[in-house]
Amino acid sequence: MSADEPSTGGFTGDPAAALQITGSGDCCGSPAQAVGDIRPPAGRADGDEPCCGTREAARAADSCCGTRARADAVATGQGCCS
Amino acid sequence: MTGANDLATRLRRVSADRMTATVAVLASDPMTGRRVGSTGGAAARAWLVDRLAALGATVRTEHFPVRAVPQVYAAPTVAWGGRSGSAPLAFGRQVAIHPASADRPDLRRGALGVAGRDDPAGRWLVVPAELNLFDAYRDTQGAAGLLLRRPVDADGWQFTMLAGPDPGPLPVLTLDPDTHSAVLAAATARDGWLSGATPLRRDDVTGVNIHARLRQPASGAGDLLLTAHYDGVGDHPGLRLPGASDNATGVAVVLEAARVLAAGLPAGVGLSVALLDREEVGALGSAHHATRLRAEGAAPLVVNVDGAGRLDGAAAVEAGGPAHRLLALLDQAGRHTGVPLTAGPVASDNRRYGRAGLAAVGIGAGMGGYHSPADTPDKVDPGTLALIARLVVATVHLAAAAPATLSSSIGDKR
Repeated sequence: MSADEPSTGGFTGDPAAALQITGSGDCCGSPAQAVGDIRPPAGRADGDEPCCGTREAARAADSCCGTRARADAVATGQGCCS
Repeated sequence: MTGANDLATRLRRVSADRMTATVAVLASDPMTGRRVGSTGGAAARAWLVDRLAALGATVRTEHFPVRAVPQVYAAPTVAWGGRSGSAPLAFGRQVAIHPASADRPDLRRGALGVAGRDDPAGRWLVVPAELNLFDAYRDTQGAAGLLLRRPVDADGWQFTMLAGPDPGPLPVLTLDPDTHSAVLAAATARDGWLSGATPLRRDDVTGVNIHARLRQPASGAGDLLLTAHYDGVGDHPGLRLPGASDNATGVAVVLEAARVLAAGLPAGVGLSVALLDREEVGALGSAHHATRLRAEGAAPLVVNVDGAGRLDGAAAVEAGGPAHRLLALLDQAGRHTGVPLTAGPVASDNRRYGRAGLAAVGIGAGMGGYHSPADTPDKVDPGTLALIARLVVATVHLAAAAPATLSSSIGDKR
């Protein structure tokens, strides 16, 4: 396609929707991880589905993204946005 | 060189052939799939540093520790059988090792059972599709291991992941849907056995980002950062995972855009490139880089490319941080170059920059053969490479040409 030809490009709909992607504030890394295809055996507290951190840290913090769980996730390479 | 004619000239300089050649190099055998900390990753990095230096950039590398990267160090030997006979399972297609598996290089043979139903002692437990791994772990005392269902791609390959949960105490194998169905049926009938090993170790390695400054920004002028991750999930023993679309294509686009833009940006506008390591293990390479940028007081507009293998309708765009202006520029660039765009997830390094408070967009256009041996250079569409590179070039051109106060109807709060 030449840059001089008529264009059908650009956003369909509201470009600002790109700022509201579901899950974008959660896990980082591969799409498969982000969509939660595999749930970790460690790290999920009752009624919650944390995406990172060890089970012990998540339980201690009562949340995947509690400070301790997050630090543990980063240290162990689990990938938790901070 | 900032006018519309200049942009047209610049867009004509984009070479699909050059990008195709870059993809071929990065996906070649010596690069071994470019896993973080691997010899192939180091080879790719050395090649990329040379390419950036040839553009006249000031290149530096940033090293950071990476813990517990999973690596299959031997092709697992797995077989199963029942009354009707036995069969070996093909590694990569019918069976693979789950990243949460324990490292068990020794063969374990046991009767098949159904997780959550049968006595686990000594059995390989088949996890029904409706049960997730976490739930399956609840009653596994003494089990030989777990068998999970995993989908396959159009070429029949299971995908590989490096990012994932902590390793558990048991071997965990993943089975393709047909095999899983057959093994589950045998387990339900209490007729069958499986023998398997899970040679999966976790290595502490060093990740290395590449940062190349092509132009310093003048005080108060705009600054742009083009990024792509160069790491892949890496080869397995006996299996190549070339990582062509993911993300040799993104790297090729960024290199080509930098080549086209380097000579012609208006004075004062900054331009740099970051080729990032360890995206495949939690995107921590970009987390490291974003933290460093913030510490240095830098606030570039970030354009990240993750996947430019084959445009399917429209390129996905995800934005983070104060990115309204950047989105407006990208929209203009899309209209100018004829690249359709749609808001969609790009779960990649752009998220790290956005979370660090930088205006960042991620662009994704094609992930065929995701993390599998099917992600080969021959499946990469040169036309898509050209389109995405032109989109990036036009975005940077417009950002450089427009005053920093450019506003749009969806402008950022200041």
